[in-house]
Amino acid sequence: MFQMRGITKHYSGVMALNGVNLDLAPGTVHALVGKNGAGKSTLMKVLSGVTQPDSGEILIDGKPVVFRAPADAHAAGIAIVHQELSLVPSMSAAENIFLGSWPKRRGLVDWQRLSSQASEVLARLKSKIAPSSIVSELSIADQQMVEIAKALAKAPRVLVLDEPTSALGDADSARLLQVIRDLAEAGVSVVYISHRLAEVEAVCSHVTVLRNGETVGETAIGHHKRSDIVNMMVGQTVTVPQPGRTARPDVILSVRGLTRRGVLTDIDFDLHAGEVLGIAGLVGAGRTELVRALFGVDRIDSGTIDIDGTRVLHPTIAMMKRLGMAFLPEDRKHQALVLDLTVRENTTLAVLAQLGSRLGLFRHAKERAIVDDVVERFQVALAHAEVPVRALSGGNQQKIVFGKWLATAPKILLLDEPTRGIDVQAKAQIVGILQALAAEGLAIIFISSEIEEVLQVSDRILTMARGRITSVHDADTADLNDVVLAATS
Amino acid sequence: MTTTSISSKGKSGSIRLSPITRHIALLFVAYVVLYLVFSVTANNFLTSFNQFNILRQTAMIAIIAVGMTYVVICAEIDLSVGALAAFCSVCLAYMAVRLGFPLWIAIPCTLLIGACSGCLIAFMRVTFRIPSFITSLALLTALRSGCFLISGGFPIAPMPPGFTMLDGATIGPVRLPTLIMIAVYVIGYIGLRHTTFGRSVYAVGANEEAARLSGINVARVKTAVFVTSALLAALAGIMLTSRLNSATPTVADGWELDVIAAVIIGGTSLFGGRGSVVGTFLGALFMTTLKNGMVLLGVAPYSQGLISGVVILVAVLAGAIEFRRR
Repeated sequence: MFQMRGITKHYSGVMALNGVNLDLAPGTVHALVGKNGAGKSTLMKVLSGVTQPDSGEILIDGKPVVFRAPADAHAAGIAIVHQELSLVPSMSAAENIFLGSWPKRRGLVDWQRLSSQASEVLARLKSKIAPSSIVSELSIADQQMVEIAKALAKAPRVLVLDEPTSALGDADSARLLQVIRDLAEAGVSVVYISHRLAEVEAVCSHVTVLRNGETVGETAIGHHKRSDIVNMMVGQTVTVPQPGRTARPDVILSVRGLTRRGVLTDIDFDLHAGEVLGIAGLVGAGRTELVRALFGVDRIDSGTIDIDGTRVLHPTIAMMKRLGMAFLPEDRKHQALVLDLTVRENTTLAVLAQLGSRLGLFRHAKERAIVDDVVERFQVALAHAEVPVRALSGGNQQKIVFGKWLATAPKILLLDEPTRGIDVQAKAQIVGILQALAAEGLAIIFISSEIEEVLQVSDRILTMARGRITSVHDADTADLNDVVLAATS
Repeated sequence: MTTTSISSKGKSGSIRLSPITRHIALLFVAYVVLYLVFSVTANNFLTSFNQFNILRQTAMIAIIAVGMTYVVICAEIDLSVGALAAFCSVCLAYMAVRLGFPLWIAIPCTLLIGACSGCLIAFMRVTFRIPSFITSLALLTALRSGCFLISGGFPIAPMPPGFTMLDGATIGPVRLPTLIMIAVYVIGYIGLRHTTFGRSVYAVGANEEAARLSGINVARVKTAVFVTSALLAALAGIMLTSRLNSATPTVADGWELDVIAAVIIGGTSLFGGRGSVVGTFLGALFMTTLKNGMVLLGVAPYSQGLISGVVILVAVLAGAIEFRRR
């Protein structure tokens, strides 16, 4: 029996966990669910010895233990399979399964024993992967299996799986769920973290729901309907006042049958001038992939994109820019900004072509005018435009990215997680900018992992799952629970 | 980031120079010290003949180094420049002497050969993502071999009458190669600091993905810098032919290392995104002056390479410390 009792953890004044309990009986599969930021990952960090709780205790068979480092948790029989795979792609499955603790004979790796031991572990998973196969040549589903085998090789008492099916198709997911049931039958306690409630119902016997760092429900599956669990995850439904915007007459972007094999399937939607279209969905649902495909970053296999009467079959970045599209990617530091260049140089990066005179010389005065305009319009807090953009806060960096793209005078803005990693005040400013732009008639696609935020700023909301659009909601009538339900299906 | 001395007020209110400007200032001080030391210790160092000789010796390496500065800022490398200069020299002499082409045809053809070589590196990099290090390394050996194949292993000489004027002509006390070098530097400086292309070079070198998502045509920028570098190597090859009044398959051996040394000593980052043409000029001048002074002082040839190596290491170390301080 494995228990966590009253686990509490603060991070610089913010309560990440507040008196959380978790009981794991041998041979059970226990689901841990909650929205982003509910405290799931902090709880798992405590369980795996990565962080120490401020108070509370961990009991194994009734005896208290303290995990000062991951090695302690490891020794106590806890193994975690993280959502991001941590395999060495160029090594074989067997080498990865016993990474760092390969069986040795006279100081050299004993390849025969390595192979036979790996076969044993893989057989427990009913996997047909050959121990000698190179990981980079395996499918994502098989790689996930190797990752689980790696955890199993440590003969854990508690196995934590964090979103193990997020990268898998239906058939592979079903196979994995069967493996999990078998492991539980063999006496392992499994903690199953997932947003996919259908899977939770299919494989778990118990569920713990976290919200804002607190346990809001702990129950056996089957006693609750799915909508009750969603209610517990979301909590009190807050009605957000909608900004009064005028009706949207003309369709400015029309997408039909957009498909990118294995990533996006048959995407249809319209976007109107002055409209904010929110896209909700889990990580891996295809939201980022959709906007990247629209902007011509990733190739599309079929489908059409009509912008303002122009039909596009094979979008490229240059073409979409010319047609009035702007794209603010999710990874601000690696995709949107050149951190070593100055604020001035970053601000004009998307309009460089306009800054060359007829003789080919740089129009420095015009550049300064553009930069001054952006800094003033967005109230960027900075001493002058010659500092590297690296030195700015996240919120101010994001304002520069907005300014950089608005300098291109776009008609359509694609925003991928524009509020990620910036403080509350800057977030509010960004949302304000967004609403002002929509009021000016820009059409905006807004992606955020925070569903409340999507509801707050959007006129309409699309939910996506597994590369498809699963529902469309009108913001006036949309219910938070419905949106969450559609996104977790 | 800036080559011009844009100074910025730090939080404390003190005037702070950008890292690259500071690097160039340091390098300048080091150069002045070196110059003073040789002035006192080496007998003929300060003679005007020797002073102009230093500039003349610097010219070809320094010209190629301008192109290399663009390439390195773009986070790429071109190891083929020395071999390409030699190959262009041999091709020019072959066309002008063996085939009897007039110079006004042979010289443009030579430049075209250079441009093709740059295009090849760019094509492999842009289309197949083969690192420029690999392609240019292969080109280095292939082009050198080409020199021997075309020339048959022997010098091709003499060049048509008048061609030596390219090296020998003077305006006042200044020889033509020095003037060509100055012209290349002025154009190179303007191209990097005062055109939109130059700005793209920095952006692509510092963050290729962000540049691409901003709508910059990364493939075109990379192609342009490799072609620029190769064209300048071809130009240096032509000037070398004029100076020697012949083409020899073994000339310009190891130039790529001198060129890269000049660029790195000048403060350009091998990781891309930072660098300047002004720094490169000082770097090239520094290396030539050092070699010149060592010869005048009678330093044993075997020791000269050791001293140059130490100087390169110290310069790179200074740059690294500078970068970490930021």
